[in-house]
Amino acid sequence: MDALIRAFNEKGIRYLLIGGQAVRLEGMPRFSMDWDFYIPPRDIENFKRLNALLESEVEEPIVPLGTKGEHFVQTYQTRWGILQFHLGGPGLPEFDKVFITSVWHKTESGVSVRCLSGRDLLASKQKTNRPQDQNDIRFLEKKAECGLLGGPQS
Amino acid sequence: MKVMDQYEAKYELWAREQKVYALPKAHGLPPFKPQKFDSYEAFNRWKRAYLDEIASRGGVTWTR
Repeated sequence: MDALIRAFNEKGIRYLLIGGQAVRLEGMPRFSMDWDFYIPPRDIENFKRLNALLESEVEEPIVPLGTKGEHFVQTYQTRWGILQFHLGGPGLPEFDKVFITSVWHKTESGVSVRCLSGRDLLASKQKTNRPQDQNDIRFLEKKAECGLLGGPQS
Repeated sequence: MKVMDQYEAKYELWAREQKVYALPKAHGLPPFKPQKFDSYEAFNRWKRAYLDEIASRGGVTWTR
């Protein structure tokens, strides 16, 4: 995954890591088999860059969000792992707003990855509030209580 | 003796530790075609079915 994230950064692809992997990079020991990326839902140039990068890897291109919210989550199996591109959804504020407040974390091998800020991550998990989010929520709340949750909320 | 999992203590320890734990690699994930979803309900249904398939194959192997 490090190689792909490096390529995202080098090609100027606008993305934010969200979900379980973002919580893991906040310091929670947890597993996740997929990588969730929030991307701007109708940024055509960004889709071009992303699809050019993934052309040899995915059978179908990633497409913009439909006018009725179609295709708001798109999932691909790749050699880097399972990629899930989110183009919106419950708990996710407008991309441009959270991009401004986003933070850079480093993966365990030192690759910089742009993530939803800790406060936005907590807010998104609280809004979604699924049973499987409860441990993540409690961990992020504890970080906030300790004054250690990075980044502003959008 | 009552044995309890000290979640609060663990969360505080992890929060203060600020360490990124390495993610193991999963081997043996069943292949699937690209998926596009129009609702979380459809997405969750697909994910449950995918997890069922993993389970029916005996699970994945995690390596460092």
